[in-house]
Amino acid sequence: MSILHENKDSPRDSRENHVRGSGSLADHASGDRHDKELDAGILAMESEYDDADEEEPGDFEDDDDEDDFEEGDLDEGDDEEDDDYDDDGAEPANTDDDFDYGDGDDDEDDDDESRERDIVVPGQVVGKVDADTQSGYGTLANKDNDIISLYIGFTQKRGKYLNVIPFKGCYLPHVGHKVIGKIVDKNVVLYKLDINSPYMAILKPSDNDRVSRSQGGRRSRYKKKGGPRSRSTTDEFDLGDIVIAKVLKFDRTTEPSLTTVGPDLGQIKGGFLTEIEVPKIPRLIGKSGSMIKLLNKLTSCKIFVAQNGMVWIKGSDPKKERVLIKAIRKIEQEAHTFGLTDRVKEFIDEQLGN
Amino acid sequence: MDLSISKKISSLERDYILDLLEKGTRVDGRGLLEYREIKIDAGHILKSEGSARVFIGDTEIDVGVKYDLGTPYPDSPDEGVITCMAEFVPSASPMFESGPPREDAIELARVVDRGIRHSNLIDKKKLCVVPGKEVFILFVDIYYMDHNGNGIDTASLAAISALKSVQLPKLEQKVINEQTFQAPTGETYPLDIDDYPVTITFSKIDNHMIVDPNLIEELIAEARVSFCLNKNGQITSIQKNGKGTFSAEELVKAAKNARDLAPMLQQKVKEYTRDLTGM
Amino acid sequence: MPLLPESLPETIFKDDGTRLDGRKFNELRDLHIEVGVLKNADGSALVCHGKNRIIAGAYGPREVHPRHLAKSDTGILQISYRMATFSVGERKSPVPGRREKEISMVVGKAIEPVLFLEQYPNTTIDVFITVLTADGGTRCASVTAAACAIADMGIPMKDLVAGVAVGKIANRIILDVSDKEDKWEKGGATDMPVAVMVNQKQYSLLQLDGSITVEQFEEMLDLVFEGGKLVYEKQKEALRRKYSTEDVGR
Repeated sequence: MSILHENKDSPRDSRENHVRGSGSLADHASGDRHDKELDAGILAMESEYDDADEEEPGDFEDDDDEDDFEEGDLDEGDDEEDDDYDDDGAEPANTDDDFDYGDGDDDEDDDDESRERDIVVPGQVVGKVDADTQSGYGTLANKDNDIISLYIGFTQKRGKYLNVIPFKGCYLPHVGHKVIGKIVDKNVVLYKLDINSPYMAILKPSDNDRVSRSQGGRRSRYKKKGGPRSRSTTDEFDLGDIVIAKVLKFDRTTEPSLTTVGPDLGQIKGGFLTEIEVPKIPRLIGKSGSMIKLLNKLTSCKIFVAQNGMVWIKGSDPKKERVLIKAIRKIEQEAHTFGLTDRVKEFIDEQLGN
Repeated sequence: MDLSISKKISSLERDYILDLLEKGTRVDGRGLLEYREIKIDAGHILKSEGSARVFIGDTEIDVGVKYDLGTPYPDSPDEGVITCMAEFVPSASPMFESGPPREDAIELARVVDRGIRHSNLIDKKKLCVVPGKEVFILFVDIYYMDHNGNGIDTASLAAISALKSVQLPKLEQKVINEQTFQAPTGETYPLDIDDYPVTITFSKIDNHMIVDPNLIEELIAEARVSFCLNKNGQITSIQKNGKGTFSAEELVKAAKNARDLAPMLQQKVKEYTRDLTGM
Repeated sequence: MPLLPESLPETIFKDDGTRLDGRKFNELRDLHIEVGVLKNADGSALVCHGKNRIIAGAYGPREVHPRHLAKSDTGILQISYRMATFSVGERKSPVPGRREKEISMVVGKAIEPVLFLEQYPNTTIDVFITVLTADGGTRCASVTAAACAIADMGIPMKDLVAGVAVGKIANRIILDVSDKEDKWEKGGATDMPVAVMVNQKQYSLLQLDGSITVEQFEEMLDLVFEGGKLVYEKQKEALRRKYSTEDVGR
């Protein structure tokens, strides 16, 4: 069943959709343990949802390759140079089998019909295969050349591909994704993490060492102590700890493996977690980060959105944090509607009594 | 690995909750002695003699009451029997599993059962059909439908509401084909409950006593204590659980708080009528 | 002394040819579906079909417990159908019986063809079905509920699956057999629960209990497919209702 995830003839262009964080700690990338709080970065993903009409012009026009989101740094205000940032970019580019949510700029592909977000359900015929139309993401063409939806969601025409963007969905790991996970089990050589996915993830300190060396970092402190036994121990994290990690490899027949070596990665302390449906992450971030910038500005909370739908929030005022959670729920509920940014702003202002 | 471990609370969330409690507030903005929204409605149990569906916040429990005929206990030949059972439906939480009731389901049923039993709210003589021979056995079956904390208070509220709505059939003996049956006459009668014992549970988290714990609070709590109170504010049953302990001061303070909160819960039961029209 | 069992009506059709509850031969009972009724489950649905009240909650795909049930080349679908003790006239024992196990199995086989389980090796999708009130045709209503709950999870599905029964009573073929009609054995009650994939035009559950001719069988298959379409429309409407935000501006 190639349509779902491994379609080589992919409708999703393989344009950049990479993870970008900010304000990460340089020393962390070298594999050193740090007890300092990580600064929150914001995961940059472009919006799936075509909101060009409602956004201020210019907000999305610029090619955002150079956009860095620094919102996470409000509190500390430290602009530590992120030396390893390029390493992140140098990761293998997302491949075809990585569903690309980020094609919000291709507005010219949309005719007016595609802005109608009619809700479709599994099995529903959403179109017909012809010279201009092919079955895209979330759809399947049957032998009568009908394109049928595989999800509850809405249709969207991208070039000649007719896609169905689901409202909900479980997280399937992809190499390079940054995820937030909880340590739920450990033994002498590895940790097991719940990453909000069907699959438990594996974090091996030995993998961390290897990643660290490949990035030119110093050897880990365990190595320095000498002795193969103590080199890769699992005493860095405890059960119940929350870490930001990157997916090293995953092929669905073996458990995904992770590393905590890299910018933004490692244990997080303080704040708390909430979740958002994975297909709606782009909406939470908004065009060029517009939504997340808005949330950050209005609630003064640091926000880190990981690609597995886990959202880390850290603020100083519990009331504002609660309003932020409510706002995220609202975004989740109304992700497929137009004019959401304005409504969210109104909502937060109202809740905060401004 | 135990499936439930992944649903256990992270150190991050734990620290956050503790921090909030220090500030006198909670994750959902409630005060320490504040309940979530409570809703009692008729629910979807159309084929029972009495039922109720209770929500406390996002926790949902459905209770249905069925009857059967049985022989009375020899020491109380003219009294019927009431028995509670709890089923933790696996769709209610990833922490619940299929299979025979676990000890927490049994505990829940027992706590609710004691709350009903010791407040003498039902005249068991009204459950007698033929003295010494045939009595009603009432099954109060508790179905935990959505698990988001504080199942005990929710279940006890649902059980008492369901009992309040019970209509038992009047029976008469009928002989058909030389076999004797108890046949419903078509008339029914209520149990005439005039007391509404309610259960109020406190969770102890790092020396803070909070009422109506939500799921995350319940999971990090060291201990909990449940008080069942009748309409006069008297304690009719207590259940302590959890590996933590309480001091006498804590317990007395909790009991006083329970006494203050009970009328609010009892009022909810008083207002409940089982209206199945339109279902 | 046993309780007198509920007596059955003398006739099953009224003089004007309609059924006891006023339905025509090809009419469904009232059907209302609500999606997303449980907070914890990944997907959930409540089906009110006649007096049937059925809640399905779905979890997954998730790790398989116990581990040895996991398959390295595909995911598995595990359905658990249970009747609440208070769902029927006489209290049902809380211990699951053979009937419940069989229905769990057939409901699973009815749903499985629309899923892409091979996309999720080593995992399980668990659907827990609880019958709160039973009024005939619970296995069909369970299929309807389970399909909606799984669709609500957001995993890919080829089609929805609609459950509906067709029967033959007093030599007349009727759609959506109710509990009373099913028990009315005077007319040689025949009950055929079916699950249909409306868009795929396939039948994924088929059982029969009674006696019919091959010609009647053909007629029943046609009628039940029409019934499936009606159920499918309700499913579609319920799923859309959950996600529509009509009250917010566009």
